[in-house]
This record gives sequence, C-alpha cells and structure tokens, in this order.
Amino acid sequence: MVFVPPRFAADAILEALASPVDTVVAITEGIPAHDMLRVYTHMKSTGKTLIGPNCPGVITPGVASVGIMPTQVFQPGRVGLVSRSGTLTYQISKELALLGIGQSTVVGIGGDPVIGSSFIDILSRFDADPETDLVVMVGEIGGSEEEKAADFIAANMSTPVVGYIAGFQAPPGKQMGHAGAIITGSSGTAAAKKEALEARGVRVGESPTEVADLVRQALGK
Amino acid sequence: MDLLEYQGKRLLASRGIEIPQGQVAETPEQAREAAAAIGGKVVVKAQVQIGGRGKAGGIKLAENPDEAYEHAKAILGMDIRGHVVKSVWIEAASAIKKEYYASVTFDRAERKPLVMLSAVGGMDIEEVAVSQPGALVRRHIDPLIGFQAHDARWLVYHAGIDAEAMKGTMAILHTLYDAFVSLDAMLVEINPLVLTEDDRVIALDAKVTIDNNALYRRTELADVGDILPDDPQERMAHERGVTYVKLDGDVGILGNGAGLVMSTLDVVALAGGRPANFLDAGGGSKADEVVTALEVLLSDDKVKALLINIFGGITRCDEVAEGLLTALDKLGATLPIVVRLDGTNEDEGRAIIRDRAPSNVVVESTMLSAAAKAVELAKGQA
Repeated sequence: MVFVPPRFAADAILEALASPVDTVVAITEGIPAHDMLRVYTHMKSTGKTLIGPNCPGVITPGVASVGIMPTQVFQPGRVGLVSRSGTLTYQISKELALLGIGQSTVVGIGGDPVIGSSFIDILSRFDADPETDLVVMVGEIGGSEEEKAADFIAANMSTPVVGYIAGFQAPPGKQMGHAGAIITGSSGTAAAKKEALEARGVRVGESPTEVADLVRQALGK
Repeated sequence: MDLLEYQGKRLLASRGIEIPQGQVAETPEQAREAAAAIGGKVVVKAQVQIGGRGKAGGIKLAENPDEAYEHAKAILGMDIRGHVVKSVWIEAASAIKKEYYASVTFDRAERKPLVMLSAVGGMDIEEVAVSQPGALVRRHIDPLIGFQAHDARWLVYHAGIDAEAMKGTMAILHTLYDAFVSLDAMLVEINPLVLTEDDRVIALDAKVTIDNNALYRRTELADVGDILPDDPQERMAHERGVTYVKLDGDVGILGNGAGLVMSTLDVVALAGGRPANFLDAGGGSKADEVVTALEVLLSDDKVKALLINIFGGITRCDEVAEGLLTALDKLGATLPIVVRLDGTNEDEGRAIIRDRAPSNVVVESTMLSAAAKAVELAKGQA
C-alpha cells in the first residue's frame, strides 16, 4: 500500500512494482498527472495490478482490508462494489447494510484522470468471482469510463450490475474537486452516463438509497 | 490552472515558437501606447480564461493607436460568459495565408498524450471534428518514448499541411509536446496556428492548462500569478484552499469527498431544493478546516439553510462537530443547519452536537432525511 505524499508517490509506486509484490494499492491524492502517465504505462508492461491512486483501497469484509476504509461500515455478503469515490462507497455500503445486504469485496478505483485499474478491469474480476452475485458500480461525472463499462457489461458480463452516477447538478465546465471529475463537452455528463448504462439494461438509482433498493429487488429479497 | 492567452504565448515563445509582437494593457491609455510602440495595424484581444472571445466581441482589429484605445475601452470590463475582462493583449496584425490547428492534450480514455493537428483551423475546431472528422488527425504518444520525428511527419502528412508550412509545423509540434511535458500541462493548444504570407508558421493564440497537482514544481509559473475568481465566495475559497464551486440555489452544502458531495447536491435537488454550492472539505478534515469551509459558506447571504453531510473514513465525525461549534461561536450564525454524521467516531460527533450545539442545529440520521429537512428549512426562511 502506497500512502506517501503526492510528490514522492510515483517513485513509491515504481519501487513497489520493482519488488516481488503483485498488487499495489495507492491511496495518495494529488499525484501529478504526468507522473501517473509514466507509472501507468510502465505498470502495464509489468503485468501487475495497480489500484488507485486517489482511492480508499480494497476490502473483503471479514477477511482482509488494504486501505483506509472504515471497516465498521461493511459486512460480509455477496454484492461486489466498485467505485470512483471513497465516501460515496461508504454511503452506499451503509444503505445496503440498512437492508441487511453485505459485500463480497469493495474496490475503490480512485477519482484521478489516470488510474491503475478501470471499472472494466474490476467488473471482469467480479464476473469471474463465485462469491459475487451482483455488482454495484458507482461512477461520477467526467471521462468516459462509465460509458465504456456499459458496453463491456452488455457484451461480457453474466453477473447483474446496478449503477449509480453522482453529479447531475454539476454545472458544465466546472471542476468539482477530483481532477477526474471534469465535464468535457457533452459527453461525460451524469445524464449521458446514466443513459448509456440504461440503454444497455443496467438499472441506475437516482440516490444511494434507491441504489440499495434496486439491489434488494434484483436479489429478490 | 488555465493560463491567459498572453501568459501561454510567452511560455511558448520562450521555447522558440514564434508569436506576433505584443504587449499587455490594463487601461485604454496603455493600449494606445502599446499600439504606437508596435506600429501598424494591431489586434486588441480580451484576456479571459474562456473560449468564444471573438464571437462575444472581445477581439477587434485596430488601424491605429486611437482605434486601439477605443477598442480597449469597450473591451476592458466586458463580461464574457461570466468572466470580467481585466486586461487586453495588443499584438501586431498578421498577414495570414492559411490557418491551422495544433494541440497536445491528455487523453484520459487511452491514458496517453494525444497530439492533434488540422489544416482547417481558425474556426470552431469542435465543429470541424464533427463535420469533417478526417480533417483533424490524431496521434497518441507513448509517454515513456516521447514525441518522435516520425510522429511529426505522420501528422503533417495526414493533416494535409501545405508544403511550405511542413517544416515549420513539424518544429512547432516538437516544441508543443516538450512544453506539454515540461510545463506539466493538461492541454497546450494553438488555434489558429498560422502560415503567414511570407511563409512563416506562427502562433496567433495559445491555450495552456496546467495540472494543479504539479504547480509545486513549476517554479517558472510563479510569476504568472494567481488568477482569482470574480465571485467573492469563490475567491475566498481559493485563497483559503477550499474546493468550492458556487451554484445558484439557497441550500448551502458541506461534505467530504467529491463523489459524496456531488451526490448530496443531487439528493437535495431530488428533494425539491436547489443547492447553493459544491464544497468538498476533503479527506481527513480537521476541525479548523471545517471552520474555514463554514466561513466561506456563511459569507454567502443567498444561503438560507445549511446541510452538512459527512461520512467519516479518515475524517473523524467528532472533529467535524468540534469545527462546527467553533465556527458557530466565531460567526454567530443563526440560520438553520442540518447535520448528518456517519462513519468514524459518529457517536462522539453526534453527542457533541446534541449536548453543546445551539438550537438552530439539528441532527438527522440519514442522508435522504437530512436533505429533505434542509430543503424544508430553506423554504421556511425564504
């Protein structure tokens, strides 16, 4: 796990990739984008896995946690969760907990423009995971990863997916904190992402509460 | 950080890209002097961090210094899509034979730098990209290898750059890519890149966006100076390092984590309310950061009620509660405040508010009920 200040983080990730470690989780927020371009390109050539940066980590409730997620929010279960946002992950897990639904594994992929693992990377792992019955995908405005994930889900996944997108109220052209959460042109808006997911049969909740309810319905509870 | 045109141009010029001779002016008098010093026809250009200046009347040709004075007088103070013009750039008018487009940007989808070139520049390039997709050629660059001569050849050939401009354009592409890397830029764009009547290739505009996360190591940008937002709350937030965006509603929002804050805005809207802002107190918020954030929010008198929505991971709810009490003590705010605290030290946080907060602070147990309550209270205050 890499948890060093941004200006040293690229070196720390490269150091971890040079070691025998297979999976690196980078928590650090604020790493220069050009550093991550180089790190990402190198990481791809090593065949190793990088989660993050600017992410809360990975947790399999009751088994293991690598990162900074508050463990009391999660409980063992059979729903996988993949998210670009840390606190939103906790919020949705809490909503699921209120309905008595636990998680198989929760992965925060991070909110930066360049991240080691995409939605698709994690969705494909969940699809192959016998302990996951359904996946919740939590996206937000900016970029086109949710749209690409929508295509992937329709073409490749047998595990059902429920979606959530944050940022319907975001004004166009304004940066909302995450470097990744920048609207570029008409694509990348919350509405466009919701539409892309729904067009491929993924139900999208309007609030974290509704997401939990859609999960409950999909599981037939 | 978006640089102004002249700031971007000077950075490109210092790396060897030719730009028309020019000067910055902040008054009409300075514009007249600049035009006289440059001599001949000049262009008066509004300096704002937004596109579409020409269509808004922010770019004018002046035949002589007196005309430059008149144009500067009209343009200075103009509001271009929410940006007030505080300076103009006066530059020598160019004899243009052809207009091109060149840029290096950060392609998030491919996670690679992307170089784009078109022989059809000078107009709305997004329109060109849609109506004549073949006219805008794109080439991804391996960041570990960098921009190579063959990349430059491929681009000028496929974009259909005129023979007399090929050499100059290839040189500029190399410089542009070097600038993109060495400035830690997210975008370096020249539109139009111009072939002059005497066959020089020069930059008539420059749009440079720097990665805020890398500003600490871009010492050459120190004299570019901070470009402060016009809005009073946005300026205050900027000066204090708070991530804040003003919106036009009346429910003030404070949360932690960009995703949760955006979700909070959405839930407030679903509850029939209108969020007044986006404010991300960030991960690991301490009490004094909460105080600073609240100072920004409470200085906006459009805010009728406040919604504080915290899910503690590395942020501790008791720290947030202490910060809220300190801020209320200091600012004496009486507007209704709805607080939702979950996560790390939630019981301690709620207890602090229950035992010690004034009566205008109410605690709600869920995000949805907190949003509904804040909307209801804001309407009651209207």
